[in-house]
Amino acid sequence: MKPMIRIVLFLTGALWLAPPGTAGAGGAESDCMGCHKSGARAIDPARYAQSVHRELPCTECHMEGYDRFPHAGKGAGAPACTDCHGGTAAFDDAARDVKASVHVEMGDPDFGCTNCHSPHYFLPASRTPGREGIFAAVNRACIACHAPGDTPEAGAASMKELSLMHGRFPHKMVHLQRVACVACHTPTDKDTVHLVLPKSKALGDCIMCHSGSSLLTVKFDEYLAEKERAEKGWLNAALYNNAYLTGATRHRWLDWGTFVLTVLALAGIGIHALGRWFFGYIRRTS
Amino acid sequence: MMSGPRAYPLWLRVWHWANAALFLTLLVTGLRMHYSAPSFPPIDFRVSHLVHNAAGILLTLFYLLYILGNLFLGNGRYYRIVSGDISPGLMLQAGYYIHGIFLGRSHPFPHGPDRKFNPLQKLIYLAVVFLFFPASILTGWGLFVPDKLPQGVLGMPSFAFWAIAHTYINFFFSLFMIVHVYLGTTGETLGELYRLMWFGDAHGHEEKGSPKGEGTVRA
Ligand code: HEM
Repeated sequence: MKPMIRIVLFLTGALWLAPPGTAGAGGAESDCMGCHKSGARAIDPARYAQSVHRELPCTECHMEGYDRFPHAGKGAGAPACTDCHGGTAAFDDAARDVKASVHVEMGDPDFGCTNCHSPHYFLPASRTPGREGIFAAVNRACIACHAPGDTPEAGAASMKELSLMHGRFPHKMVHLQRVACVACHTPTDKDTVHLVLPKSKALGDCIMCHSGSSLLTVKFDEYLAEKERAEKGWLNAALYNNAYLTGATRHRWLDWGTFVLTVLALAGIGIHALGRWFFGYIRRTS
Repeated sequence: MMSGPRAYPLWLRVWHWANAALFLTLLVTGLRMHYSAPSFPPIDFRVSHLVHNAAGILLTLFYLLYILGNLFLGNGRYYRIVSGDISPGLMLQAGYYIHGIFLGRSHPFPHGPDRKFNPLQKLIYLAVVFLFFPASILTGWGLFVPDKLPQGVLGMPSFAFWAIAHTYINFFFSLFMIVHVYLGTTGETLGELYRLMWFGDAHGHEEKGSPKGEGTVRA
């Protein structure tokens, strides 16, 4: 073999050893995962593959110095979420509300989107299957800090503790598991879930959710109903609509049906009673 | 004088009126929760919820009393379907309510030692006491301890199932009660059955040598 060819072969072969990270495929399959599958900076590839950002290569966000190994970048080197997501009313409102929230006011001035919406795992409610899935996904962020636990047992124990703090509720656990935390912990007069309030201002009035025109309906269910219609067909959605929620279990047709049947029963009784009185009167007088 | 077991012994009357009171309480608090709205404040939601649960537990206990009374205190024999109850019994009794009652005819199935309920009443009470009642109680308990039960029933989330079933089973239960309260006035006199259910038949008005004896109470 001629030396020249040797050199060429060596160089092209070395390409295989070149630093990973430049792959164009979705992050979960990217070369980064070779290292980031385990350890302190691990990303769970399965969960990443389910997330809203799954199509993005890692370097889309980890821009500065992460296209080679060892990395030249510091920290995560990620841009602000609003670099991509800004400019729409929904995101700008959310960003503004977070700045006014208890997390920023009383906690961490740097508290931001990613404290709750893990960029690696986040899946918006609209893409989470089923109602339960939604609340589980929405609450996961809160629970991660407010009822943390490394093992399932530790998690269950701190959930129990958290449930005790919700002493006003009947079925504490059920409420914690099936209702979005932000349903009660954000202002009731605004259609926002980002302006998380201090504990003292949390909603304690059952009726706000347990009624036909409920807060949950406004904040979540209208949107959920639409989604359920799309997933299950309108008949099932109509049947299930809000059905799990006492006070909002109201189904217009069933409510009208029961009303009409009751009126018919009362009318029938009235007519029967009138007939008894009338024919009795005739018998007595004839 | 009346002989044999009483048709309306004390335990039965206590059960019945406790049951009626609990049922009305459950109905009012249940409706209040079903139709809850911020602009509908007669009873606080929390209070309704608490009272509804407490009354539901009590109702369950009273229901057991009625079942035990039927099993061991003799009331069960009035529920036994005897020949002639279905045919021609149902038609005869229905005919009485539709027609005979207006003409002042006598009851086709007067009370007797083994008959307290007319055939139609017997069948409806059977359905109410042994189908609707347990269904109402079970679905109520389903809502009471939802987290301790399977999370899905009949392909629905269990919450949805218990809530819908409980609501509409009890709607029909309430219809029963409306009709029941009215048919309570169709005894020999308007007040007779009410008097029996309140005072019992030991010192009833037909006790003292009434020509029809104990077999005259009608419903
Ligand atoms: C305010 C409500 C109520 C009133 C005024 C009322 C009235 C009466 C009267 C007058 C009787 C005696 C006539 C008869 O034997 O049929 C009776 C019996 C009966 N009622 Fe009611 N009732 C009420 C509520 C209820 C409810 C909620 C139930 C629910 C299951 C019920 C179940 C029964 C049963 C099973 C009997 C027959 C008892 C027996 O003799 O074994 N009642 N009721």
